[in-house]
Amino acid sequence: MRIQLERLKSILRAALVLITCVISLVLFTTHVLGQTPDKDETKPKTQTTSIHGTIEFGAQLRDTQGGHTAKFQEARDVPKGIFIQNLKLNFNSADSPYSLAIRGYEIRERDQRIGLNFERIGKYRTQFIWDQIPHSFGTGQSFLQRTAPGLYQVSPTLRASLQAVTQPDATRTPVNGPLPTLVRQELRTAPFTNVRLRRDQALFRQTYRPSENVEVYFQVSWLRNRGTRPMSAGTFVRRAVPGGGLADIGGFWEGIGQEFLEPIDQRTTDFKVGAQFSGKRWRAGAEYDLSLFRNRIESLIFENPFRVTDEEGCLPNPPPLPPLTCGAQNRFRMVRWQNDLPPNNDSHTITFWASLDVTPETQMRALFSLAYWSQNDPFLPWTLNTAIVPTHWDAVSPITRPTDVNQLPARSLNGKMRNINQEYALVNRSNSFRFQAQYRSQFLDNQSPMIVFPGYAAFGDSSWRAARTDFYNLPIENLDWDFRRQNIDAGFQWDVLPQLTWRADYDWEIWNRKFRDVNRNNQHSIRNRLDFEFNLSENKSKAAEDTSATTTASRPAQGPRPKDVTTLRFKLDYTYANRRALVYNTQPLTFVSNFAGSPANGPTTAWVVTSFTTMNDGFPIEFNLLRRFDETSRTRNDGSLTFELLKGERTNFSASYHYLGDEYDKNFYGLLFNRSSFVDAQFTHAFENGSFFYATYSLERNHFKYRDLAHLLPNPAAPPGAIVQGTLAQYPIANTWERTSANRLDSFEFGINWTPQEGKWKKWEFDFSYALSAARDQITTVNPFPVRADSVLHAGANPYPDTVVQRQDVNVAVSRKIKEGFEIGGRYWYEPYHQNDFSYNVLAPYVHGNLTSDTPKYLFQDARYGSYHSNVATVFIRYSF
Amino acid sequence: MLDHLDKTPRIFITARIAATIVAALLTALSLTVWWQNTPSTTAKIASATRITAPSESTQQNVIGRDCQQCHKLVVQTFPLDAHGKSAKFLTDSRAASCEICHRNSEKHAETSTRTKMGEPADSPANPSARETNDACLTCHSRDNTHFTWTGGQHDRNDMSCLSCHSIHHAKLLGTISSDFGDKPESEMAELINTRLPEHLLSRSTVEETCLGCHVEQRKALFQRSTHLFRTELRNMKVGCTSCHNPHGGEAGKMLAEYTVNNLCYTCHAEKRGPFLWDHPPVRENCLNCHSPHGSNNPKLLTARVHLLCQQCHIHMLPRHSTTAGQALDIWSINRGCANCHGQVHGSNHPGGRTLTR
Repeated sequence: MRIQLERLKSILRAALVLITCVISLVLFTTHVLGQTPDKDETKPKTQTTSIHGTIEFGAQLRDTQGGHTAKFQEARDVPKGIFIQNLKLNFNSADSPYSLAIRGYEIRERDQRIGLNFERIGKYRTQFIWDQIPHSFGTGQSFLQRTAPGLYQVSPTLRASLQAVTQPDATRTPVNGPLPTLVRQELRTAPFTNVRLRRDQALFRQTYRPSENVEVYFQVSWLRNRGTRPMSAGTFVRRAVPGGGLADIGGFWEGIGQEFLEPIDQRTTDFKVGAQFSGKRWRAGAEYDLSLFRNRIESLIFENPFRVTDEEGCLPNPPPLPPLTCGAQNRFRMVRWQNDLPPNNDSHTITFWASLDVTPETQMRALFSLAYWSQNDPFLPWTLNTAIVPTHWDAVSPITRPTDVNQLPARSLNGKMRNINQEYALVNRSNSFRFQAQYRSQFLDNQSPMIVFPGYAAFGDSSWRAARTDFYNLPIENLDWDFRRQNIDAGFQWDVLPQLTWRADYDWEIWNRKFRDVNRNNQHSIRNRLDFEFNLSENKSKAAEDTSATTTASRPAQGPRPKDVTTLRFKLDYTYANRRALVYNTQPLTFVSNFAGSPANGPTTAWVVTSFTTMNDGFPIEFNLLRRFDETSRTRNDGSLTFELLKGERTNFSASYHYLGDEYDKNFYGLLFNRSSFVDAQFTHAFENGSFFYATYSLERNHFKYRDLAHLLPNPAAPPGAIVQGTLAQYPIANTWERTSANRLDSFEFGINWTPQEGKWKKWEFDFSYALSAARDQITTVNPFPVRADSVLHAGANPYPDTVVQRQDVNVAVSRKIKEGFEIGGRYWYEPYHQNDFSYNVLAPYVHGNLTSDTPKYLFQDARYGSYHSNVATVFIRYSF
Repeated sequence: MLDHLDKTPRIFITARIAATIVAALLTALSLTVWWQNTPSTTAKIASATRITAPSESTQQNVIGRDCQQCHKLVVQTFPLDAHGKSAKFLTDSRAASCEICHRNSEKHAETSTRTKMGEPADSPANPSARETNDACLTCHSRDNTHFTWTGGQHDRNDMSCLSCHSIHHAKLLGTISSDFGDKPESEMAELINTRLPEHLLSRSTVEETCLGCHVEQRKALFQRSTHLFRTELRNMKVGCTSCHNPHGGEAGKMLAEYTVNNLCYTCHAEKRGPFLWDHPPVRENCLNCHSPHGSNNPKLLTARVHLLCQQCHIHMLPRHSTTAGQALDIWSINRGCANCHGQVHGSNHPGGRTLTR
């Protein structure tokens, strides 16, 4: 750690000194070389800098009700009591080239933001921002107590008590057995912890223009993330259930593990210096960016509340006995667990760019960026469990002490990655025809060494896993996989008629990968878009005359619109993309047409691993019919229709429909399709007096389906020649199942702001808004075939309950001007949030009955989000001067 | 024992690299500044200035008299903003004036009694997107943030600078001005200047400006997990411009960085690695699993955790009953698969091959 800090300090010092030199030299050079002073160097005759500002302060009441209300303040701070929420100060004068603006929002709250902007027009600008973002996860309860950075401990007495009542893992933990009873009893007095983070960010940016054609900038940003967040470690144990098929296959898989607090104390420091030079027809620039990520807590150690002594997992039977009767028991039996936290890393990036206006209508440009990422944090030991003896699991293992870092094949990764980005473009813009061609390339070149490990501590840190025992002799090594992505695209935009524009684009995307399922992808996509625009106003003949006379390049900008002109716009946009994987690499599983034990009225085929199977190194060990969605062949249809009616400069109505569908090969496993559709409608109207009304509605539907398979353990009864060694073994097609998720989100929002300019309400301002966001997720699972009798329970098709999340937001604000510069007002904010999600409804540790099964020994902290109602009432005074 | 991990040489290596690069920049800068200030170059610049910038008398004529006759508020507040100050304090080609940006001002003055609809198409009241942009880019093409504007998505969609910016805020000024009936005009103008949106935006905030057209993203404001979270004052912490460059960005979606992952690493640098055990889809594209604006699932995930993992993993191990089994098991609740595989973004632990630690 000290080394890292020193290193950071050195780099900081060096960079600061050098940057200072740059700025000083530029300043010095500018003046020494006798640049002709601008007229603005002359002092203005009057320097009456004026100060204007606004400050808003008041008091706030907040009442939040619900079981787990942390969601309300998930990423904000809504304090009770006195506040200063808005502070704006402007030092500005028409007689001075200088200006200073200071902004403060929600000052002294956990989400405060302070900004400063100092500028000398045309010369330099100094910006400073301080911003805080809180992140609250809720209140958790745990036996673990932080005793040092990255170290969480549990009372030895408690651990001894719990270990004493821990039963052997051969049977499922009884709901009201001694262990759960004791855990629940002890938890009543366990301390609560507010689990939360805060991200603080400071940014300083200095821009300097020694002349109108040179821009130099320097930026330092510093990001600190501190606090805790929930994290977990765990495994599972196998519980045989009488009558559940094969003793070792049927039954339950009981979760066992521990949720803890991940300590966060991270810094990211970023230095950026660059310059752009411009001529009349060209621009060129360069930038250097140094980004340093530093984690002050390099690892996390927590104590297992259930252990005071290390223990090894239950050993499998030695050959020739069946190996599976015991291997999945007595896991998570370590006293201490050590997790690696994100390692320190460095990034150096240098970027060059240039553009040239070949003609007034044609521009060529290029951008080249070279980034170099490195990471070399020392490795942690495999385990802290002193009871693990690797040779018990792998007779020829060379490892004698897995707790000793000296036995690691390397002491650190010395990881290096080179990231090269290139972009080249040619753009032409004539009056009615625009053309663009572009090439982009991203090359991630992984230069990290490949390290072969003889094994590692697995299964809850209680056993040893080696290549021979679990990976078909494939080496346990990190792969220096990398990729290159290239895009070649070209397109044009043609104003066919004054009212019609046609846009067409073609894109060829190429992926080249190393050590993944697909080494090369080609995707071709074609996009067509038609834009219609009709003038429906009474003066359309005149407008059309003007427009046609000057070609469509004179179409009014999509900004302020003339009064009394009604415009109707249609947009049709469609993209078709076809991605193909040249080859999908799979492991050489063996096809069996009549798999033993197949159900009578279902498929009898299967893919299995036999003793003759030789696995391919470098390919993922997976079912050979699986196709991963990010690599495999895909057809994409992406279309949208937009309608927009603009009446004058005040009224706007728009509606759109958008469909995005990804279709995959239905003959394989994995994602079969992913379809989304979006409907949006928006209406806005601005009144004469500046008041306005808006309403929006959107409906988003997402529907995806994937095919999966419940495969079997290695079958100890398999005949010779069909023996499988590892855990990937038998894939009976009969155990195929398919799952769909149909997700729907309705969003509705409307609001009105009323600011009468005359009459008795002249000094009042009213604001009301309402928003509703309602989401529902329906999951269905279908197993089209009879399930094999020897399948684990999950081969069946059990439904999931729907997930519902609803949020409403009601805001009412009233303010009245008391006298010039003084306003008094009040706000009321009501936010009900409803969440019904089976994944989060019950996370209390060791609470049985609400969960159907399988989590009795997973010790959660119960820091989570739930439903709530929150009311916030605010009174404020706004003073402007 | 830790000899081979000694970082001392690396400090110097890193410092040397930094020093070399900065020295190169320094040299380039010095040469450029020198070049910019050589008599011949200065003459060129001055010559160019003479061509593009109006004379002082012209400025005064246009700003102070002709335009003010009709556009009183605009002219009054103009000296307080950046454009107005450039007119007064800069003498090079960046000095703004009415006629620099509003071409054909003379024609406009001649037809000023007519309605806007009666204006010629190339009059200041009715500029095309290209005319508007060309006027702005006269100066702003020198900003490095605008490097890729030409041919960028907004440019290709025929958007103009005025689609998002309101240079004078004439409409808003018209509304506010009635609040300050009897105040001296100069004082009123200064007061008004404190109430206008920053960056000369046409709407009150960057987000409101963007969401006016990008309606699809508006739903994210209230979604279960979102990057568009807001404080009680509706201030957005991670705004649109935190990730997108509305003035360019050749990478898809006008990103502020060259790739999605590079962009994410600016705030989430802990995921940059390199790691001993990388998770390739994570390294290739964060959007394989995350929906960046908002999601109905926690952590901005595109699907519930175990449904997401299952799209790519048919269980190398058969014990993970996240499949069609019991609904409320350890593999389906809380963080799902990440209850055990907590280091899904990558692990540097020698035993982290399965991303568990």
